[in-house]
Amino acid sequence: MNEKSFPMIAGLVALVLVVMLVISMSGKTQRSVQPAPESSAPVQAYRNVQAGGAVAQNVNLPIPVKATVTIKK
Amino acid sequence: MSDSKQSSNLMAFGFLFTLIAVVALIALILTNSSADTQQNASVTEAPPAFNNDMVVATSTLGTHASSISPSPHSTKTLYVHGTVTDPNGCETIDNTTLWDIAFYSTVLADEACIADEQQCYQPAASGLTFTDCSGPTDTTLTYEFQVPLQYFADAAGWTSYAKVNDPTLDPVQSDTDSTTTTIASLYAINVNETSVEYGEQIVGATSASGVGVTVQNWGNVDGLDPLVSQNNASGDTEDPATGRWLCTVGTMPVTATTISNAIAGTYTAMSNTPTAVDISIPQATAADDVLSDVDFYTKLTIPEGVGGTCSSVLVIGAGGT
Repeated sequence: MNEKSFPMIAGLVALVLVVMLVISMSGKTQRSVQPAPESSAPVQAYRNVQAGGAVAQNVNLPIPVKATVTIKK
Repeated sequence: MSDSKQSSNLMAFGFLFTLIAVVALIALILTNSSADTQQNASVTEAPPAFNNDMVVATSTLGTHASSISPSPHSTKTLYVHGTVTDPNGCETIDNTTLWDIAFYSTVLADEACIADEQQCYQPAASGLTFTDCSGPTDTTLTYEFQVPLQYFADAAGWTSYAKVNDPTLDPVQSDTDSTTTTIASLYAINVNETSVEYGEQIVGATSASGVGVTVQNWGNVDGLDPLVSQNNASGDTEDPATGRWLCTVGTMPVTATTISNAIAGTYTAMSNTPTAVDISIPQATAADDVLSDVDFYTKLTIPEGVGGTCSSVLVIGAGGT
């Protein structure tokens, strides 16, 4: 390497690295401003549990069953 | 300026630039390392979270039912659904999370109950369905799981429960959601017999042995005691409410029939108004549980003045306890 080209090459490398550093810093800044990963606010829909006891129902009412008998003489 | 001095200055600039390059390189490395750390940190701070909107419905993605009646001698499918949000994207929920889901009677302590169709359902997490996740940038999805509620499930308050764990985090982070609904009492029976046959009987005699009628508990009420009455057979236009037997010749009063809760027990006269049999039919513990079948018995005494064939109708209702 000759004495005159050494500072030019070093300067060029330094310039490239500084530019890369600036780009990298810029990207980092962009990521850091993304929204914080927090859950959204709770939605309280459908939470109104009905108070009171169970409701009785009757089904299959009535069931008729035919009864028969034959009278023997 | 002499050549040697100019050469020295150039070398000085060269070393200065080299120093700047080294410093910039180190800074670049540190910056990228810091960015990676930041990204990792954002993952650790982003477990999935429920939006506290759990619903128990009787149709898929339906509205919340605060009281649900089981279906007699059948299963009723319940649909438990809600939404969950993962800041890392809803598509990660299916692949990076584990679920615990349950539907249990509140008489039990918690969701860690042993599966039992009367009190505790533990659906497999593999049955979970996920919808409304539109892609990598979407963070919220809708989950749903089904509960095949049996007819003998306890009448009580019930809790539906879901827990989502993120095992990629150390320690594992999780979130839970739950809601309650009431399973209503269901008084339902089935009668095995389609007819009661007393065969041939002679006037003045009482049938020798009680004729059994088997009643099955098709609901969720334990200790069901059916109501039984005797109505007249169709065609009696004179007095349809008495419950008389209609014969080819003459009629027999409703009290000709007697009823008992045991084949060798004490028989009492039948009435034309619904009367408790005084039996206790257990709530089933499994589908078609034979222990939830209980018999009652009837006898018939033939009075004077009748002939031919006679008929009447037993009417059996679910009653109370």
